Amino acid sequence: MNGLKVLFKKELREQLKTYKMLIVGIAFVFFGISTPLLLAYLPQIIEFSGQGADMPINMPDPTPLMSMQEFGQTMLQVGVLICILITMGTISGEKEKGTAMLTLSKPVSRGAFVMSKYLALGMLVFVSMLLSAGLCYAYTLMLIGDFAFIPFLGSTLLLTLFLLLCLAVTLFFSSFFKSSLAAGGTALVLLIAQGLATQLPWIGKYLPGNLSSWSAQLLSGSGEPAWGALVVAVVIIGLCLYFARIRLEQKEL
Amino acid sequence: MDAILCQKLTKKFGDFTALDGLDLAVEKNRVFGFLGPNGAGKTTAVRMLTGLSQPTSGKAYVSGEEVTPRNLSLRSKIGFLPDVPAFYGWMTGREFMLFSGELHKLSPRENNLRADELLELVDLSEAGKRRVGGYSRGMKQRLGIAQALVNKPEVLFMDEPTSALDPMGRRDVLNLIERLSGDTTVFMSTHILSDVERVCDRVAIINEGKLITSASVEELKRKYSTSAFEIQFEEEPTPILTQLLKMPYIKTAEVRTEGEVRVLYVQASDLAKAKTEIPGVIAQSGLTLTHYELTTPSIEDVFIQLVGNGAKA
Repeated sequence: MNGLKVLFKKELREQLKTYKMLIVGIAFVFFGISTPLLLAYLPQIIEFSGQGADMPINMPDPTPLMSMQEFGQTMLQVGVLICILITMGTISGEKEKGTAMLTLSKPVSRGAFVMSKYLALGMLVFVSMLLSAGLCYAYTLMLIGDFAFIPFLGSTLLLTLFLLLCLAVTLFFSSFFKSSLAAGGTALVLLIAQGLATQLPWIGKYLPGNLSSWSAQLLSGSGEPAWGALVVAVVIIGLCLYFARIRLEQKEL
Repeated sequence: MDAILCQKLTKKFGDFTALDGLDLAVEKNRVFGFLGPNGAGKTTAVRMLTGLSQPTSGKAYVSGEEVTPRNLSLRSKIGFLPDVPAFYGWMTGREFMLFSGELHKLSPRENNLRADELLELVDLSEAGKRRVGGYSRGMKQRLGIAQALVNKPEVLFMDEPTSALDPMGRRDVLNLIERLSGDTTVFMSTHILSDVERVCDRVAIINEGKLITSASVEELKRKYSTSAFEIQFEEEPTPILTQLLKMPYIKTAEVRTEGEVRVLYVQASDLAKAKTEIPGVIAQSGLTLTHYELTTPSIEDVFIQLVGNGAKA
């Protein structure tokens, strides 16, 4: 892929100079820390606020499993939204502004153009997710209690794979539509729809949405692994990147 | 070998035909003007020739290679300046030049030297340290020219290169194009006729997606425009008009009102004969001559004649 290294470097510098790297990093770190903090200190927060004085609220004692599960759910919702927001304008925005035309008039393959964006965004999400999960784990250990590391790592990696899928799907729609909003909206609707479709017989268990339930099951130590969904997620990522390239070749710049 | 060759190049957007079977050949190391009114299909043609847009049918060859979106070796031989060049606003001008050089695989040393040299050429040495986001339209245009030259292209495509520039900037760009001629093939689309007249060796005129003609500027002037005599008198010129129209070497003669002045325009089918005989006719008429001029045709006259007065350019 001609020009991949140069374009990848440019994407990383862009993330740094436009503060995208900082903002995404802070958002992920915030949710990573806030989950165990809120769980550990919620009773005290309620007590300080004065609510519950007349009618005491009985809250169960927080457990490390609760913290890890809560983290998974939060990252699934917030992470998906962040991924869509940071990806929806990457190709459509460049086409609209005209920067894609100038870059692609150089000896650069369309594949490298798409791939550089995916790799840079993927790296940002991967590193932010690991940082966030690491802090969540450390705070849970300090404030709530011990938890086995390997299941948590496995659970985090499955969630990260799902977020990487969100990036690829949004990137494809960003190459497809002129408008960033249309790209983001379509990606969101499709991701929600496949999440709902996981309940369908036969095909449901192969949909990438099962990665989140597998991730939760890894923490609780129950349930069956969803290898089929994992393979399908990887295949969809590949297809999205391939068709984003094809779309870019066919479309007027 | 021609630097650019188009064979029945056609582009359709739904029912609308933006370019209709363009056949064109551009010789190597010439400055070629691609003329046409707004919406004639100039930008569409340039984008197809640079591989940024795919033709509906037909083929194009640049530097001997077929133009396709995947032909990367071709793109290392060409430079491209779009009509409205857009840059990453967070980059400085110099960073964009280095980025362009890296994409063309220049060595770091060569890249730095080339960036400095070209920024100086387009008078952006100082501004090159500032972010492109704060550049004026003219500065962006000049940076666009610099980035198009970073790889010392064999063929340079310029889409309306002077339209955003002030008179000084325009003069500099035209000087630069003149300097490139002989070493680089320049394909310049424009609707500024004086630019074409100044720098282009050959021109093609298109209108509504169709090629009207392609020839050298001089050929066009000879073929499509006739020299005209502009004659003014103190008196009303109508009496001599009747006399002139009887002469076999006169093609047309008419009196036009320009402000408060009545001017007699005469076009001759035999210019040499007209030059020797018209002064005699004037002398015999008894009118008081105040102005006598043989005007040379301009590319504008040719353009208006070919494209028509309805063109928007």
